[in-house]
Amino acid sequence: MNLTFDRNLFTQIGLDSASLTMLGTIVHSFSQPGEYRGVVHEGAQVKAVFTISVDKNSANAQASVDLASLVLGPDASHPENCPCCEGSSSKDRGPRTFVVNPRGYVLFHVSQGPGGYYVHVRRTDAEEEDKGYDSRSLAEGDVFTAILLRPGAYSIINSLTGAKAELIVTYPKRGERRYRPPAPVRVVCHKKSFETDMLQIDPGQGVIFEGREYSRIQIKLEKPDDGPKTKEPASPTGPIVPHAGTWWR
Amino acid sequence: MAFTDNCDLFAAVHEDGINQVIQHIMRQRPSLFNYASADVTGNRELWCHQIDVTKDVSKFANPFFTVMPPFPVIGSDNPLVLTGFCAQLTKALIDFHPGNIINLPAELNPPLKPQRFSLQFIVCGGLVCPSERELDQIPVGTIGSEPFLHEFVPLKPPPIIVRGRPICFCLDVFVVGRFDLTPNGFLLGKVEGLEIVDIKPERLEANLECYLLMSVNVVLRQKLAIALEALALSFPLLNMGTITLLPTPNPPVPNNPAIEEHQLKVFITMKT
Amino acid sequence: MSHITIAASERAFEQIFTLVRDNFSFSKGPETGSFGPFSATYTVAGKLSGGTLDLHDDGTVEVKNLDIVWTQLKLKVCLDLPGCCVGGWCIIPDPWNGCLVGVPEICIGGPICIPLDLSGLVSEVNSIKAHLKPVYFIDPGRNPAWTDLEAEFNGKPNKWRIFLDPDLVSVDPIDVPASIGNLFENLVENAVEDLLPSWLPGWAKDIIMAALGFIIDIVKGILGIVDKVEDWISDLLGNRLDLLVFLETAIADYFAAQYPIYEFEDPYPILPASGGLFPVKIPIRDLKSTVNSKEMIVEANVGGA
Repeated sequence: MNLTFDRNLFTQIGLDSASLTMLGTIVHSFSQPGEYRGVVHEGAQVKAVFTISVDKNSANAQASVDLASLVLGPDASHPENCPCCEGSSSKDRGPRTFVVNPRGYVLFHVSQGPGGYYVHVRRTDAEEEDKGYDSRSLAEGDVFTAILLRPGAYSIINSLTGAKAELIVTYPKRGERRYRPPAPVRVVCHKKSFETDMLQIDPGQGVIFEGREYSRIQIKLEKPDDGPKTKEPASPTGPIVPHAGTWWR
Repeated sequence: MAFTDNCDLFAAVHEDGINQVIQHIMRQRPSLFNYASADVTGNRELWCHQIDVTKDVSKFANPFFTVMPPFPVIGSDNPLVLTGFCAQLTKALIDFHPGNIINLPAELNPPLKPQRFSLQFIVCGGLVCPSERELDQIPVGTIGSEPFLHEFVPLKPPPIIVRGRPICFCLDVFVVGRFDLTPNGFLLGKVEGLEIVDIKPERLEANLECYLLMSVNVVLRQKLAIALEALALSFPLLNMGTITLLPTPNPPVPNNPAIEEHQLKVFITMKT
Repeated sequence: MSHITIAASERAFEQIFTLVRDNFSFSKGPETGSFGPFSATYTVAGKLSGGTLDLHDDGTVEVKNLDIVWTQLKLKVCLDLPGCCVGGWCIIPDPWNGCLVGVPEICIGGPICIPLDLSGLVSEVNSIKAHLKPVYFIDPGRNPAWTDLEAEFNGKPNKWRIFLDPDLVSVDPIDVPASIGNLFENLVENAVEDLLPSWLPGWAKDIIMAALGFIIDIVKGILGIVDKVEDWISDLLGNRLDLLVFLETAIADYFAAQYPIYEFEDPYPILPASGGLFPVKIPIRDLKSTVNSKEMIVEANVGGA
């Protein structure tokens, strides 16, 4: 083994709650029991469908919906029409169904790949004027979690309300002790503002946005931080200078 | 007391060792000790003394004698008459102070003085004495002249070498001398006195002694000067270009080289 | 009394010793030793310098403070770094299933090599104690039917040789400076960082390396480094890779059998060849060599004609 991680972790900079990636998740609660039909979108394209069964008899307090898995299949390496392959994405098997209690919540996340998804979920028996839930607009009570790795100065905008904030991600320091990011910070999204509009976090430290208003959280890198300009020189690998020995009298 | 109390390098050779070396040289380089005209060298029967050599001398065709031109007979000129000779050194012995090997004759003021060596050797030789029949081969009267251009020039006939057997004799020769160290690192024997025993009249003895003195000095200078490197068996110190070696001066060493305790000694000081 | 006596003062003997010392050199490698979880490859070369000499009345020659100059001392330690994962930090814990939302985990591992160039280091031969040993050498290429003269003409004369035969050679442990310990840790970091893909931007590498802060400890654990890194390197080179034994053997063999302090032909040429005449050579017999606290003495006799 040499290295296992997704390249997109380090190449996608900035987050948008309306376009989920590996570093952004949305938690939403479906309080009305019933069958819900969900569609995974990537831009204008429909990439996958799924169902959520909100059942008051269910013991599940949460359902974790991996949008990448729905789009790529649970095991993208297995071919289609392979009924013997576990987790194969045969079209004949129908959309995936997630079951959750109405008092629980559903987590929408992206486990791999470039992401850029949003979801639209609607009760199968909803009235026509019921548009359902569109994750591009976070509802009151929704939670959007952002994980930022790239050090630098960011701007945070709620593009639906105009609220703004600033965020600094500090540069990591190498040391003898293993780096571990602190606990996540919580930011409340009010109508016109963010409660805490000046944030400073360490790389990998989570920011949890709690929606009080309809929100679309966009986080943009304004000024990257590439670390100290004069780093320590590369360790010498040439011959060391000999110390003085005992020479012939 | 250490050998190098007053110097850095000490080399010494005992008289017994030198006498062994002399034997080796006589057997391996006989031409240093045997001289004769060509007519004598070519005929073993005419040698005054048979020569003991190593097998290598014959194998590598080294000469037994150094060939010298024959002596001219006084009074001959046209043609010149020459007679052969043989001179051989048949025994050589060296003795260092205090002398215990060689009994010096009174003329050399024994006992051997400090810092001196003595040499004893036997020289055997003889002039070829031709028979009457040989002499009859010599043309009577002067050979005439021959025309050359418009003049008559005297003829130059080739010389005549009369043949015969040398009348051999042997002489005991004694030498006293000292050693000097030359600037170029050679140990040179210098003869201070030479005596041939019992030759009469005395002036004849003196002439022969003078000739032998010259001969011994020449051989010592030209053939038998001992390289210091050879005396010290090529000791590595002598070949190091990074140091300077000098004969140890007086003081602390009063005689350098020194002849004492039956040895020839050399003292060298190292300058770094 | 011997026919020939040659003596060299202690001061002069020191000069001769410098010739022998300066001619010595050694080299070895690349050689690899395996030590379970890691391997070490080295390439070494060096020479001797310095030294002080003492002659003793018991016939021994003692050399002290002789330095070994490592003109080349390259070491490469390779190991398989086990999979180390960083990240996976939990953002929103789940009381039932552990973690609801977390930072994705990154795992790295694989073979790494740490190169160390210690060329220029100087270590010390603690002590050499030796006796003089005369040896009569007959060239193995000499035809037994040859005379001494023929052997000389064929370039294979017999020789008398005097060696400095060590009774004891003791080499001090290689003293690795403390700065090498720091250098080693930096090199470990470099080696681990080299595992990361080249496309990874610098800030990302810094995050991963910061999260891997413990990686030095893991590497030290694999290598068995308990205390100072420089002490471990010194032990690896000297004892585990047996460089000290190699050196002691090389030095002992060199002085005892390869490079004599004194050598001359036998028979010895006393008059050179000239004008078609072969050289006059004298046999040397009964060679003895001793030392006392003042000097080295060589005695010999001229063999019979």
